[in-house]
Amino acid sequence: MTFDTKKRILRIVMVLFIVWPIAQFALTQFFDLSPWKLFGWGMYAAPQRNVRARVLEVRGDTVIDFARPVPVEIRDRFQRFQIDRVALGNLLRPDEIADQILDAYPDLEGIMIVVGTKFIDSKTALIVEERENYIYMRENAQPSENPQS
Amino acid sequence: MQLAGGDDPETRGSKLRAFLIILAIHTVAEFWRIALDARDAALDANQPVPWWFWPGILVPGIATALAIVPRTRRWGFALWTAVAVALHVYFFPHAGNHLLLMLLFLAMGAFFDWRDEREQELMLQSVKWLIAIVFFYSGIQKLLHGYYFRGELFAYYISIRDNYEYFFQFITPASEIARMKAFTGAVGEGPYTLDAPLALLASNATYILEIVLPIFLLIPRTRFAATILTAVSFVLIQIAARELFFFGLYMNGLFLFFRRDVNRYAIPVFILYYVWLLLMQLHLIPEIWFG
Repeated sequence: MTFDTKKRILRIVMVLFIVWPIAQFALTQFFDLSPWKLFGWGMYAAPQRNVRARVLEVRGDTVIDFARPVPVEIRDRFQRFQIDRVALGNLLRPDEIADQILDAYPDLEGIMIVVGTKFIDSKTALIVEERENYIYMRENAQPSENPQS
Repeated sequence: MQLAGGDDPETRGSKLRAFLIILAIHTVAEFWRIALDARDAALDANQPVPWWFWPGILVPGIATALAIVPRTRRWGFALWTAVAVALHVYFFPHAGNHLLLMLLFLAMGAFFDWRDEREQELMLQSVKWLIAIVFFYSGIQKLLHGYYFRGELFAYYISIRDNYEYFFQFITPASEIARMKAFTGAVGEGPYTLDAPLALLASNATYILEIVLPIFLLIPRTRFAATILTAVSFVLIQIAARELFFFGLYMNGLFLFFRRDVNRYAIPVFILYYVWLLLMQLHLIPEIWFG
């Protein structure tokens, strides 16, 4: 490879290196990605978030606790989801876990996965929690727009 | 690119060689730490040691041996680059930022011919640019996310980590530290802010220095002073943050801002530093710095 070719390749890498942190910052703002991750050089720019997710059972219009034994495989997957969600924010949905749970319990009408994210609000400096609900109904069940707990 | 030039032509080759040797030593130490960490975590959880533990010890050893010998140096860095890419894939999305910096340095070690004078110059300039850009964006990110104006981030870390308490006890009243330590992380708790003037100064100086110093690193007239100030600020940051492997990697790059091959004389210091870190990882000496 000639010196000039190397120089050109290097120039492209450098431009990417300069531009990417701006894109990464935009991702943190729009999708709650962790500033620490994905090479935006935002380590220690914000306190680490804490993600806790839980599963609820949907029956008709009501939502109840998921009081069933959960296989180790699904539990491990759930743990992994919580850890990955801290890094990837809203870009990571619990769709695959929901499919696994619905497959494991054929009698379920549907489930709701509540993902709670705790963080320090930069305006008030208080700990707040944001929750996002993901509802998954079996195909032959009637989906409820807003199940009540 | 030339903005980061200005190396002494007579010692340029020696400076780059020293950088590459320290990089190879850093990388093997870091990879061994990762493998030992994974083994310890598995043993603590009564789980089998990961399958990649022994390859994780052997392959880095071979890569570093190749990278240190001049004739096989570029092959060593090529192997390192492959291993580092595999590590990024394996840990996605959790690979730390400094692993990317390390990967880029390793890739440059394979990409450039360290014996060719023009390539030496280009590689030194590139590494210095990366060092400046990383520092600059660290400051910009802190500014944009807004957790430093009232000491929010430091207040949070004082509440959860003893090493931050250790650093801030010198500049923050005990009552304020006690208030932070009383927090349990429950929703509604706070405010996570510091009132002590010196603590606020430290918090705001963090991002200001990280934004300003890289600019002065690139200006030839201010380069020497900026290099010293950056090194001092990095040492101070490590008293609280204790990112000791990142510290080693970054200091290796920072040394390149000196006009002459100062880093050549620092090789034994770097070797001792990494031996010390590994001995701590192996629990053969007390973990005095990890808090």
